[in-house]
Amino acid sequence: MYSITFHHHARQTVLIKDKSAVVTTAAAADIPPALVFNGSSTGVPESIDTILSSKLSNIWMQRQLIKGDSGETLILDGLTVRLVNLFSSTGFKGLLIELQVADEGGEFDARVAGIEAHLAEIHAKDYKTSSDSMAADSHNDICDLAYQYVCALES
Amino acid sequence: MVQQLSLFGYISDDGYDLLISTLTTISGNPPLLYNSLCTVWKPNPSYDVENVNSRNQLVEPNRIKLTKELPFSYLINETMVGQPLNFKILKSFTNDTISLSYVMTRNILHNEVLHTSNASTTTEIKNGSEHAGQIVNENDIVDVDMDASSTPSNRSCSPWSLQISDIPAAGNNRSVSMQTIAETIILSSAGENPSISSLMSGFGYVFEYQYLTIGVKFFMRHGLILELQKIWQIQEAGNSQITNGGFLIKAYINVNRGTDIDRINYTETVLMNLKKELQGYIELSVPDRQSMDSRVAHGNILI
Amino acid sequence: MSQPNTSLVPEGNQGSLQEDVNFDFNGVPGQALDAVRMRLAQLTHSLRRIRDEMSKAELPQWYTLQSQLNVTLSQLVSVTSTLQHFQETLDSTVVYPLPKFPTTSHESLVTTLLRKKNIPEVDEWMKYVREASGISTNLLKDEEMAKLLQQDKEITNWARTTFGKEYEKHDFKHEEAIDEEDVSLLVRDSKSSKPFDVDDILKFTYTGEKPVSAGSNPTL
Repeated sequence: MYSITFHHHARQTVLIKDKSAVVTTAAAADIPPALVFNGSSTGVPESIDTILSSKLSNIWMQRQLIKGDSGETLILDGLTVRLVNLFSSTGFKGLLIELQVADEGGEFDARVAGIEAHLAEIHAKDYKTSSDSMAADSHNDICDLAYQYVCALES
Repeated sequence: MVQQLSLFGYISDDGYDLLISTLTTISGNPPLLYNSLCTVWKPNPSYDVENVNSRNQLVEPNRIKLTKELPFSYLINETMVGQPLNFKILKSFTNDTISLSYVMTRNILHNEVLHTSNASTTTEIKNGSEHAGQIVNENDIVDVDMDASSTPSNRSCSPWSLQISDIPAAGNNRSVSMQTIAETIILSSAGENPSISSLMSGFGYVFEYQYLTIGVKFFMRHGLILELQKIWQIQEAGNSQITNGGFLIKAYINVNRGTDIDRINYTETVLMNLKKELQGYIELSVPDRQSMDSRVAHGNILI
Repeated sequence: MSQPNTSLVPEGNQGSLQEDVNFDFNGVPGQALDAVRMRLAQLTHSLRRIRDEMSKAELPQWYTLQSQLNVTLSQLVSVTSTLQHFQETLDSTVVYPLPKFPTTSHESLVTTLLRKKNIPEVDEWMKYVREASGISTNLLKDEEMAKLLQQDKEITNWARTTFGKEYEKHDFKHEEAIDEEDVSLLVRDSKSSKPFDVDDILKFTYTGEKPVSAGSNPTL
C-alpha cells in the first residue's frame, strides 16, 4: 500500500493498494458540508497517515518514507513541469519530474518525447516514465497522478 | 484527535412536540432535520493480527465507523411524499419500518452511486434541511437503484467520514462523558475496484453492522449541539428500530484539541448548565463508558 | 367613672397614614376594671394557696385552714362588692374579644388582635410606601392625600391593563393551542415512561450489540 500526500493539491492524501485508490483529506475546508451538518464529521479531520500510524499501527507499519522537498514548478509554453529531489532516510533517491498539459491533444506525447530527448542529452539514461491511468474508463486526476508517482518510483 | 464531550438522555414519542418547542425557545434556533448512515467495520477476523505494533506498543483493535448522509428520498415512503421535510416528519417514524432497505445500502457500499447523482443528493439534503419542502418523486428513487446496479465504471465512492473512537475517559465522578475521536475524510476513490467495501478490506477491515440515524438537531450557543435521534438497524432480514418508543437525546460539544484544558473545562460548564436548565424535565446523564467502547473483543479487559 | 358612650376607636384618625396617632382612652373604664382586677388577683392567690396546702401529703392544722378560708371568703365578698359598685359601668362596657373566645387555644391571635401598635410588617409597608412616594404625610391635607391616592389608583390600573395586554402577546401556550396540529403540546407529559435504556442504545452504536428486547444478536 502506498500513501501519497500532495501538498500542491490541498494536502490531499491518496492511498493506493492493489490498483485501487482512495482520496482522503486532512483539510477542514474540504469536508463536504453535508457531512459536517449531519454530525458525521466533527469538522477536525486528521491525515490518514496519522490514523494508520497510531490507531491501526498493529495492522500497518511504515516501511519507507520518501520526501520531496523544495521542488520547483516551471511552466514551459503550456506544459507544467514540476521538479523535485526525493530523499528517503537513507539518502538521495532521485529526481522526480511531473509533466502536465492543460489541454487535451496529441501534443503531450511529443512534449514528453522532447523532455526525454533533453534527458538523453545530459546522459541520464536510468529513468522511468509512467503515464498510466488507474482504470481505463475512469479519470480521477489526483488518483492517476498518485498512481503514476508509484509506477515511476517502484523499482 | 477531537475531544467530544457529551451527555445523553431520552424522551418518549409523546413528549417530542413539547421538547421541540421547548428547545426551539431555549436555543433560539429552529430544529434542523438530518440523517446519517453509519457503517461499522471490524478487523478482518481471518487475519491474525497481534495487539502490539512494531514498537511493541499495545494497540487494541478498534472498530472503524464510516458515516455519510443519505438523500431523504431514500428514507421517506409514498405517504410522506409532498410533505415538507421538517421536524414533523420524524413523528411518522414510530416503528421498525423505514424505506431504506438493506439492498440499497449494499449498493452504496459495494457498487457506488454515480458521481453526478451524488452531487444532486447533496443538494437534496441541503434543501431538506432548509425546510424547502422538496418533493421527491418516485422516479428518483428508481433511478438511483438502477444506477447502482449498472456497470461499476467511471465511479467513485462518495465522501465518507472515517472515525475511530477511543473508550471515553475513565473516572468515577465525571460530570460529562469525554471521548477522543480520530477522524479523516474519504473524498473519492478510483481504480479497478473503487467501492468503499473493497477499500476497507484493503485496510484489513470487514463490514460488521450498520445503522441509520434520523434526527433533528439544534445549534445552541457555545458550540453546543443538541440532537434528538431515532436509530434503525439496517439488516438483510429487515430493519428494526433500536429507539422504539422514544428518542435518544445527545448533547455534545467538540473540542478540537485534547490538550486544550481550559476549553474542555469551559465546555464542561456549558454542558452542566444545559443539564441544570433541563433538570426535572429531561435528565441528561453520563452513560456507562463501557457502552461507548468500540474495541473489538475487549472482553473484560479494561484499562 | 361612667362613660358608657365613648368609643374605643380613636377619633380623628381616618387618615391612617397620619404619623402621630393619638389614641383617646377616656372611654375606657380604667378605674373600675383596675379595682376588679386587683381584688380578683388577691382572690386567685388565696385560692391557689389553699389548693396547694390541700394537695400536700400531710394536711395542715385545721385552724390554719380555717383562717385561710376566712381570708378567702372575705376577699370573695370584696370582689362581689366591687363588682356591685361598678355594676352600671361594667354592664355597659363591651368586652372585646367576647368571653366566648377560645383564649387558651388561640392566645397568639388574641394578642395580635389586642395590639395597640401596628404589627411590624404593616409598619414596614408603611415605611416603604412613605419612602417610595416621597410624600411627607405630615404636610398634606386630607384632600391632597385623596387626590394623590386617586392618581396612584389610576396608574396602577393602567399598569395592570398594559401588562395584561403585553402578556397576551407572549402567551405561547395559548397561541399554540389555536393551532390544531399542536394540541398535543398542551398535554404536558414530561413524566413519560422510560422508552429505552440509553446505555443499551449506545452499546448498539458502538459495538453492534442490540438491546435484549430487540430480537436476535447479530454479531459477536
